[in-house]
Amino acid sequence: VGSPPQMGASSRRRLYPEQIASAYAGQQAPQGAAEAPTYPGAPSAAPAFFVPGAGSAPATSPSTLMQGQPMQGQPMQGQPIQGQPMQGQPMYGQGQGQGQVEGLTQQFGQMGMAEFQTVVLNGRPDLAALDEAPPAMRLAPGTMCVAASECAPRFQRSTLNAVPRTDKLLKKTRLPLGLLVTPVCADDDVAVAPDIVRCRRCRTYINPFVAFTDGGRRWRCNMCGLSNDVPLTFDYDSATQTQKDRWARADLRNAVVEFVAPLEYMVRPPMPPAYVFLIDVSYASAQLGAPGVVAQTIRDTLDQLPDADGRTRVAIIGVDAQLHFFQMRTGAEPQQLVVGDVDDVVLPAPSDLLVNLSDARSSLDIVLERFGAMFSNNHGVGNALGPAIRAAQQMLGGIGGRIVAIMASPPTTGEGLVEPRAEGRDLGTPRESELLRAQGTWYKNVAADCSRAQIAFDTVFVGQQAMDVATVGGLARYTGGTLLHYPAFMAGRPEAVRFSSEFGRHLAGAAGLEAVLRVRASKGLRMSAYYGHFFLRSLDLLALPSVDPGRCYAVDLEIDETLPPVVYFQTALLHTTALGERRIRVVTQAVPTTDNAHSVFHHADQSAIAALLAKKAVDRALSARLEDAREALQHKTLEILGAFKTLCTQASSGAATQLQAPRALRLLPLLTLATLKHPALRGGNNVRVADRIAAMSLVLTLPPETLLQPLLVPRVYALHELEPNVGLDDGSGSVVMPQLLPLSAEVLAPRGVFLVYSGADAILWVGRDVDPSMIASLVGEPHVQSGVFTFPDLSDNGSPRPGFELNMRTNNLLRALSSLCHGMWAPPMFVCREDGDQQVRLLLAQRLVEDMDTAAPSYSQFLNQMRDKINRGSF
Amino acid sequence: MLTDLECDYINPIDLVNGLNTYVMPEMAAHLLMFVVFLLMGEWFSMIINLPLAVWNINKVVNSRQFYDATEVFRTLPKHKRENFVKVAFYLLCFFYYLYSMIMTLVNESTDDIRTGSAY
Repeated sequence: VGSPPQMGASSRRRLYPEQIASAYAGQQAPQGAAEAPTYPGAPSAAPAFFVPGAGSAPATSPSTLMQGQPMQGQPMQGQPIQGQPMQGQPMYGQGQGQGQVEGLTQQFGQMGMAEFQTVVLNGRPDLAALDEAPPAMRLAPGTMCVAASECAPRFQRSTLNAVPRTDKLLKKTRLPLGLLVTPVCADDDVAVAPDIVRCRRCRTYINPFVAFTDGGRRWRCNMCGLSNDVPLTFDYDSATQTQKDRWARADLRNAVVEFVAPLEYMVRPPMPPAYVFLIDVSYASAQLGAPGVVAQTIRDTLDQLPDADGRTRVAIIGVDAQLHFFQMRTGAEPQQLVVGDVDDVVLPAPSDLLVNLSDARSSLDIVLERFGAMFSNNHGVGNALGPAIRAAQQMLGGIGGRIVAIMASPPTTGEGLVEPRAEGRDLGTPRESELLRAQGTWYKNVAADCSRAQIAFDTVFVGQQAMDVATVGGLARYTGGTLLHYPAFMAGRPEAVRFSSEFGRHLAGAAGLEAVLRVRASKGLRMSAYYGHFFLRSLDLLALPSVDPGRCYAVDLEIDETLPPVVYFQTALLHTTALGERRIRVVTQAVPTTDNAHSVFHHADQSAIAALLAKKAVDRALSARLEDAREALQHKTLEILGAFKTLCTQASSGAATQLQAPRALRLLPLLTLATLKHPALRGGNNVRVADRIAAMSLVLTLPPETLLQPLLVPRVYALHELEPNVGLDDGSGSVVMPQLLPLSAEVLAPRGVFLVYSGADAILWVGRDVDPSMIASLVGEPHVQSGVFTFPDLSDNGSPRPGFELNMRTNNLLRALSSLCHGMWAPPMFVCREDGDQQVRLLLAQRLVEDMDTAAPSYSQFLNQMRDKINRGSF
Repeated sequence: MLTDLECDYINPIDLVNGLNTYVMPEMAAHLLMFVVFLLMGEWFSMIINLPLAVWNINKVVNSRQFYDATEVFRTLPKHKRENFVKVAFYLLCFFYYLYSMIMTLVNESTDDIRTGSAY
């Protein structure tokens, strides 16, 4: 589908709009990349996105190019727009004797039109490409679809926007086929459909891509082809007792839709949210001031916990060598009950430990207020996490809920004790991979049992002590929870503020409870592996006791038989919302298939591919070895570029002087290099195991938009030479962004101030010859020291104070960058002077991905290595 | 039970709990038989049981003998293959033991007839 319909209804641009790219990047031309079209006769002008249907020849009538295509159903007025090819557009062969169209495709491919363009990889990578939309999908003519039924890439992305039709072709191109699905995004606004219609055989939910037959009385499932009956009340709106237009139904108009689930979808009434906080109050934790900060954060967040129907329950347990329970009876003083016998934990009171949030709110406030003071001088050593978990399990019993464990010391008492493993000499050697695996099976078994009871774990690790994050973190990994890690935590330091804001945001953002996720695909496709934080309940069912917004689940797909012209992916998430309603969120996506290797390469989504490969590498590192994972990742990129060279370029065998890649994959080497240098997979011996596990957990759970940029590939901006309109509102509510700079120390000029933003932290690099007045206008003082820094806000309520405009613009920039990650992080800022602290300089060097460091080569060296290996054919 | 898991008749936690109760007894029984063969001097029987005994001991030493609910789907084909091989092996061994037992009984009875003992 790539053209306006002939009926004059709302035009439908299948190509994702330019506005997205320009609003973020603020620039059109790539900077420095050599974009040499390699085919003769290529247009010499700068390539623009080929927008079908805009300014081209007027739409042709349906008959010309669709001979032999049976028309499905009555032509409905208005909405259903059958995909109509424009004359002269590249299309995919449909297996209907349209051989001349295949020929056209080949010709257009050779002509180097923007969509099928090959670029030469040398010099600097084109970083603006990361903000681009995924390649356009050209659906075959005759595909049923509706305006606004394109699936927004933030919900679901396929790695290949032109799926090969056979397994043989997929293996030849060596590209990974997979799906990255983020069923719940932060601040999403999803239409709700009234009733549920599903296919009889394959149980697919009705979606915008179905075809209606038999006068609109039957519908044909697009996954399995079965003809189903349309229910009698389909066109009838029972709320207003009128007939309504079938095509106005939410489930036929939108790719992402939510159904209200009736009783058949519940095994028990929707559960209320319940939170049990296991707060470490041992000596190590008291030294860091953690009990006070944590209690304060929870107290501040109590208002934002989902409590729409007043059923939310909260419990607090202080954990050191004993368990400290708090009995909060309404109308009475809260009491602390200490349980010293941790070998066989029994709850000290039959009720009022897990209290209703609204009823016992005042008692909770009192407990949390005094919590810090109570334990600030605690000398108890030891951490009875295992018994605490058992107690929490008893409390949450038949309800389920969330157990948030905040730890500053390893579990050393009671069941579930782990001896933290010494890691000093093993980092950087093959033995490091052993340290990444869990010790013993106690935590995995607990996670399995809890996922059955709909209990999710969040594990928060604060402080520097060795806590065996690998073992205890398994709790979060196998119950769909989150792993947070704050090694530099200390009360009173900025890190504690960062912890407060991120932890508070995390608690307030719980989106779904007692959820299951299932991905269905067209006949011929099979789901082979899943990546993320979940429990695999059955071959294709992911059990998620808790669903966090903005967390992604990746699926590996395999092709079993020859695929039809269009394949569909449908993800269904059955969950209980925070408001106590049982809902099913369904995301449907249509992706065309092709026989042509050129199309496959030029419609590959590099962000999705890089994210999937990163997740696979982390999974491999956790189950096999780190070295294997790095090796496999590098090899895969090599294979992809080598396959491209063999299949699609003119120098298909023999050496080529330059490395060529399709325009759609031009950033793949940079993304691979960035993944290899990320703390999750980095070689060398200076990444501690706890940091590595936390980084791996991030890579496993983040969607491409948040993972790639800024986490893997940070953004570098020059703050000393911002253009006049940068940092200010561009009239539509979004901030004009400055130009992205290459990620190399070369750009750091001594007279300049640069911002290196990587989502999880931000570094302000100050050159040695910077004008002190510029620094003053940026941060208020003429000199800054290296180290942690809180960026001040020197404007009064958004309007600039004279002399501090730069500060206001930078603050706008920081806010815009933070909103790109949906506010997930409150990044601490570090100031790095060019002649300053060594440690911060080392941190900065890790972020500059294009440069060489001890772990991996520089970008240009990497390209050269790949080119040589591909030329030699040895991959 | 493993094919039940594939067909979604049973969930991994129940499967793992069910199967894990039989892992150690099976290994203990096999080890007992192996030791009996060793002590009784039945060298041929001992040698054919040797690979399996070594395999079991290796698993216990590396603590890999139990099924893991979180990883069971990933290792499912491997476990299925392993179990098929063990079933085939046990079946062949069974027939061999049966044959040996019958031969022993027959030889005993012919010996008795020849030596004329009172049975």
